[in-house]
Parts: sequence; structure tokens; C-alpha cells
Amino acid sequence: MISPRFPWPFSRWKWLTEPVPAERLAAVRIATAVALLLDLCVGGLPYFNLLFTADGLAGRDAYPLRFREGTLYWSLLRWLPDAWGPHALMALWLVAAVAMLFGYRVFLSALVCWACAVSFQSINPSVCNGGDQLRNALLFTVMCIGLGAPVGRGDRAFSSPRPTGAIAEAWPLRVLFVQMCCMYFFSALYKLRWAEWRDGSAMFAVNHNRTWSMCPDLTAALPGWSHPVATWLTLAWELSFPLLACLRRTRPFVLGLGVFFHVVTLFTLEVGSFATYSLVYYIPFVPWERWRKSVE
Amino acid sequence: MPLPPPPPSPLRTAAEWLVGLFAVWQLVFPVLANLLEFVPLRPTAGDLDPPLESTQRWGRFTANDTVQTAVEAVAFRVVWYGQLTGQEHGWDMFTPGFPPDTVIPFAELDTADGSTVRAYSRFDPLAFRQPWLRPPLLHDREFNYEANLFMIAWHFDPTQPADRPGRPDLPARVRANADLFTRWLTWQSRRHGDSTEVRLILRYLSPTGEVTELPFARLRPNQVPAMGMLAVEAFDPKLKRFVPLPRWDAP
Repeated sequence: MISPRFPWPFSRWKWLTEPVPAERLAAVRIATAVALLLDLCVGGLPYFNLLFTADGLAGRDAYPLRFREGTLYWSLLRWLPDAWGPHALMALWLVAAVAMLFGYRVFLSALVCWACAVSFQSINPSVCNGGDQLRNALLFTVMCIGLGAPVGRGDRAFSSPRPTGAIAEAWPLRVLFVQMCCMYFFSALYKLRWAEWRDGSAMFAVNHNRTWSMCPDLTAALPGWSHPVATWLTLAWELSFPLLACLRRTRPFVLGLGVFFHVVTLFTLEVGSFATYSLVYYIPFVPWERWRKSVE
Repeated sequence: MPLPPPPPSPLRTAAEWLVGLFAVWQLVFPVLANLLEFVPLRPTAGDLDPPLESTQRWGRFTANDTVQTAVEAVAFRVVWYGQLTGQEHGWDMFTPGFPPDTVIPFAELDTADGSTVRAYSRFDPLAFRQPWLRPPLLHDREFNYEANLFMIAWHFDPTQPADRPGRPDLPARVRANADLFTRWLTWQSRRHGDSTEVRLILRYLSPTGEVTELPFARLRPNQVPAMGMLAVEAFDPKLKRFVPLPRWDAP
């Protein structure tokens, strides 16, 4: 178990170097595992043959252009036979996800989950969306969490009154926060390039699309004013997320809006696991250590 | 009096520095990966043949070759790190804006006995009665695949003249995504028994309820493609017929 030594000026940045309650990292691990198992059991296994085997839309040689010279994409399934490779790797993935959920050999279980996730995504990228990018990043971060260990007790690490339970390195959570800020902020920058987002009409077309909307009879019946409001609110929230999430006073509002946004889109838009994996990024902000203390 | 702890071994110290540097890199990487997508870079041979579906801006940002080349060297390594670790970025979600029409793909198959059958998408509201609320997650990955097919042509309004300037070049787009089309058409052909020809047709459903169908791609499973050509063919709206597509590695 290794604690990092940061180069200057990072070594003087308390946000990065000061430990956090270990419960927050455990919560990220558990939430990632739950979101992954939900994704696999609801979104993957019922249509496994269609999505991931050579009898369906996948196969180790189905997308040769992805593995062309000049790219570093890889997949364990490229080395396993089509006949049983996907089945064996999926079984391994499920076992590793359960192990990760229960905190059994966290580094190893997250490593296996990450390798399986990248392998299945590479073999059929067309069934994936932004949620799979988030999933890979989350699993990679849980791997990093598995590298570390509780660094001590809170009462020794902090000069000011802080939780007194186990504490751990904060940097994996900080990486998640930076990823989250980048996702929202750059998503808004891309949207700003298009007239539909600037003039407020983008969400009208989304809400009236009969396949993207999962309940088009409801979303198309929303009052006219709600579409530009939803368009501009999304844009403003995404654009201001990094700043407002950094400010203590605005943080609850901007995070609350984010949770609301992802829960609503999970049930109204065909965004799939993008919503569930996004919600995992909000987990470190919950003071789990206080809840544990009150239970004790 | 307790003894002071022994000094850490050089190996352990080196490992701690490595983890620290890795943590810093993981913090910097998302910012760098996203920022560099907005910096115009010159595509490599791997990006051109076939053209890479990417959010990267292509071109040059400076006339200074040294600076341009140095930034490209950094950018491509950042991209490779993303590919290697599965931590790719490119958050151009819901852009460009959705068209007014809902576009749905379906397969049309000519069978060996001379009949033609149609296999509609489960998401097609004209073919299947849709639930008031679709369950989340369950069909999402299948939808993603179909979306990757129809989004290639969803800004192509089939009611407008095909030869109007500035319209999307559909055959070129099918060629750039040949793997995607070939796999879907092959799967459709397999799941419906032996077929002599399978076509991907797009159904454009306007907000006022009009339906327009546009052939998009076809595959003849039992036919060997001509020398240097792809197995999948694309429909050319200007010529109003399917056209063969050259393979990417063809001279």
C-alpha cells in the first residue's frame, strides 16, 4: 500500500493532500459496483448474444477498423475464441463486480472489471455511449483506491475538529471531481457551437423525438415554454458547474440540480447507464461518515 | 524510549513519487484531453483512411511547424493514453441539435423463395405499440446501435431535392462506417433465415405524422463483392440506386 508524494506545487495543495474520511472512498467503490451490476444484469445479460457475440452484432473481427494501425485500442476478446470467449469473460466480469461490491481484494477486482469493461467496449463500441466512458473512468479510479489503504485516524491527521474514523488518501476523489467538471463544462462548450442550443430550441426536438424520448406522449405534451427553459437551464448548469461546485455556498444547489437532472433523464431519455454512472460521481459529496457515526 | 522509525527504503520512496506523479497526471489528463480537442491538429494517415469519427478539430492552429508538431505529439499521446486505459473524452452529447423528424431504421429482406419481408425496430412506433414509459437501461444498448446507424443520415431530409448543394454525402458516410452497416445487415440476414439481399431502410417520421422511407445500405450475403469493393453498398439519393463502395485498403 503506497501513499503518494506529490511534486511541488501540488504538494502544498491541501485540497489534494489532506486525507478524507475513508467512508467516502468505500461509498464510491460500492456505488460503482452497484451501477455496474445494474448495467450488466439489466442492460447486458438479457441481450447478451445480440450485443456481445459473433452471432449478434459483435465478434472479435467485427470491427477491424477500430484496431487499425495508429490506435491503441485493445480487447482481451481479440485473443479468445468467439465460441466461448465472451461468455467466459462476462462470467469473470460478474464475479469481479460482486467482489468489488463487497470490498474483496479491491485493486484486483477493479482491475478485472476495468479490463473486461474495456474489452467489451472495444469489441462492439456501437452499443456504448458516454456512460461507458464514465464507467471505465470510475473503474480505473476504484483501482487507484485499491492501491491505497486507510492512512490513519482522523484525530491525528487534522488540526481542526474533523471526523475521527478511518481516513484515506483524497486524490482518487479529486480525480473524479475533475473528470466530472470536465464532462459538464466541455459538454456545454460543444453545445454552444450549435444554434439550436443557443436559441433554446434544442430540447423541443429532443422531447418530441419518438424514439429518444422514453415517454414521448408525456415529453411532447409539456408546455411550450418548458423546452427553452430546459435547454438554457441545462446549458447554464453545465457551463457553471466547475465554478459553482467549488464554492461552498452554491455546491448543494448545483449538485442537487445534477442529481435531479440525471434521475429525470434516466426515466425520460434513452441515455441508459450514462445516468446511473453519472450519479456515482455525486456519491463522494455525501458525508457518509456522519451517517455511520450516528448509526454507531 | 521508543526507537525512531527506520528511514523508508529508496525503492519505497521511488514508488511513492511514482504514485504521486501518476495522481497528478490523472488530474491533468481530463483537462488536457478535452482542451486539445478544440485545438486544430493535422490528421495522421490513421485518421484519414477511413476518416476517424472524432470530436477532434482538424487543421492547423499556427503556421509555425515546430509548435504545431510539438502540440500534435502531445495531443496524440494523450489520445493514446485515453484509448489504452479506456478513459476517453469527447463530450459532444446531443450535438448538433436533433432534426424535427424521428428517424427509425428497419431491414427489408428478399428471401430465396422470392418474397420480401420487413423486420422493424422494436422502437418503431408505427410498427409496434410503444409502452407509455419504456423501462430504463433494458433496451438502451440496442438503441445505441440503431442510433449510430440512423444518426449518420438523420439530418438528410428525404423530402428535399437530393442534388441540392450542401446535402450530406450518404454513400461516403456509409463507406466511412462500413463495419457498422455490414455487421447489422449480416445479423439481420442471419436472424431471418437465408436471404438473397438485405436492405437497411430509414423511416423518417415528421412531427405532423407524414412518413417517408429512404433506402440507405444493402448487403447481398451470397454474393462475393467485386475486386476492391466492400460487401456493403450504399444508396445514392442523386442516382436513385445502390452504388458499390471501394474498400479502404484498395489502391
